[in-house]
Amino acid sequence: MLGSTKRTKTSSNISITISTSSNHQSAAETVANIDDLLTDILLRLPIKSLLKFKSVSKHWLSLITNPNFSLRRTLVPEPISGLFVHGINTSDFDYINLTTTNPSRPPFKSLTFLDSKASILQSCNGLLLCTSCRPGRRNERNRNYCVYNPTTKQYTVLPPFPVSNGVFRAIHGVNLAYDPSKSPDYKVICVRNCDSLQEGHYQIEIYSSKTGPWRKSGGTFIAAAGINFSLGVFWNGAIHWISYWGNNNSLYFNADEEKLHEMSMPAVPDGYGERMVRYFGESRNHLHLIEIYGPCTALFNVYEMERDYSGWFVKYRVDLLSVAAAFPEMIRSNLDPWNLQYYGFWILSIIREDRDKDSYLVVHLTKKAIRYNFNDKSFMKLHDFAPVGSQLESECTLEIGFFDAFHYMESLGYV
Amino acid sequence: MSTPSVSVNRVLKLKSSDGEIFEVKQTVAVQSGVLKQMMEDGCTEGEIPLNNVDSPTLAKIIEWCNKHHDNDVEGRVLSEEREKEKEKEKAADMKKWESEFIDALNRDEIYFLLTGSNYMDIKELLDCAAQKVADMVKGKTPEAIREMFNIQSDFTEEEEEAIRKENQWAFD
Repeated sequence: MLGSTKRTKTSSNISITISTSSNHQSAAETVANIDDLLTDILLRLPIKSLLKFKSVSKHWLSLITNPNFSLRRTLVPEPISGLFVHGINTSDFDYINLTTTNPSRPPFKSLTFLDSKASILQSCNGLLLCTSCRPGRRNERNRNYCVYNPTTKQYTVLPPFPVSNGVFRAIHGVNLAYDPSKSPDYKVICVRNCDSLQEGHYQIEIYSSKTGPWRKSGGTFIAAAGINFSLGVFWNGAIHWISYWGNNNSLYFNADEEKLHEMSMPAVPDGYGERMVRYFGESRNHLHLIEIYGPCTALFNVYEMERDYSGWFVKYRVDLLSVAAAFPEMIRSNLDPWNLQYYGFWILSIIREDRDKDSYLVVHLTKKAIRYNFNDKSFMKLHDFAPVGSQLESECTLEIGFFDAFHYMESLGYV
Repeated sequence: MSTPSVSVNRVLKLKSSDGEIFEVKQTVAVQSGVLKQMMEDGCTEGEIPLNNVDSPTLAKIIEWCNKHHDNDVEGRVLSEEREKEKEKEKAADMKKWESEFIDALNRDEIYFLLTGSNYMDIKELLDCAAQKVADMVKGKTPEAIREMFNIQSDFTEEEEEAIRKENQWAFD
């Protein structure tokens, strides 16, 4: 609760005096001079007001930028106000506004760090993990990674990865772990080849905003084939990586304990060698998974993981047939109806709301994004995409790639 | 921790900064963290001086505490379902009363109430008043805030420009 602020303990002697509201000070001045009181008021303001009020005075600036202040402010989860989506064939981003009451301008159109255009790898509780290549040098070794706060526009470029004995060990995935309700610090977790360069053997290295440079965490580990380390999802204090092969377990790495664990997955139906994952993500502290196998791909379940990892349960049942009836361009009539691509759509995001009956799915169809409400199965158009280049002009083209939508929520997080 | 020795009929005598005496039941006064602590410590004999709270503000604070106390003690045995419904109704009524209470005050009265409830440590009243002030300042410009709280900017022109530029998005 915002109000549950720790107050200076008052002694039982009541006649202690704080700056009095008498003669020379107005009531308003008195309020503004008691830090506890002013902080209590500031904690109730939207981030936009706070950013503006940084320029009131040095005193206000110091209260608002205090790390403890942003920690206390995040005790109430910030709503997801939009989605950044990577366009195909462009380094610009589209922005899908999710707030209908008070739509704001897109925070940015494109991202540039160290003179090159950057792409987003992950969004984590208001911070973005981004990457860019140094101009003209498109190999892993010359890739920069940075953590960016799109609300405050601050960013930190991460130090280069350590190279041992002149060998640059391959990077399989870089992921951000940041939970502002627990700590103002974040960690970046990187999975690389181990020193022996043996296939299937990995090493985790960590950068911490608190303690600085990259360091190895734990020994090398062996992961079953099929784990995609580049699509990590942060939830429950850990980064989760899915295995796409058969019924192999998935993995998660707890960022505080720095320990790896296995996570079970729903059974893959007979006849499929590969897991048909269509969405894996977090919202409001819930971990979601969507897999679609058919026979009708417009009908599917949303799974959610139990907090104690005891298993996945069906949280929502989705029926997009009414959406397909309203937007027939979604149907690829040149394919057989049982084909997994018969209905052309990508799932962009699951957005959980404070009241569960307000939660919804964001789906990308040709040229548009749709909001589908889980509770009453109603839907509405959220966004029109700018037309893509003529070379891609075809009825069934989707404008953005798979797994390429990233949450935007306002944050005071210091990077 | 010892439990406060609160008796229903005993009253505390509170003395406002301008010398007026207010009598308050102990059962009402426990809403103030400071007065509760004093009762626990057994030092509530005689007049209790509240040097930072003037009489109009103290009257308002006591009005608030009396109202919230009445709400607490109304005890009746009802079925569980009926009880829940009743609770909901009561909460809604109280919200309504609170917003009417706070909306009837002018700015200075709200500030005094805020400092008074902070000083006496009355959490619910403090929350209500702080939220009211937050709603008042929310859409304002930095200049309007300075005027409102009589703050002189201590930034140089360059510093202020830099901060605004960095947070340009918020000004759009």
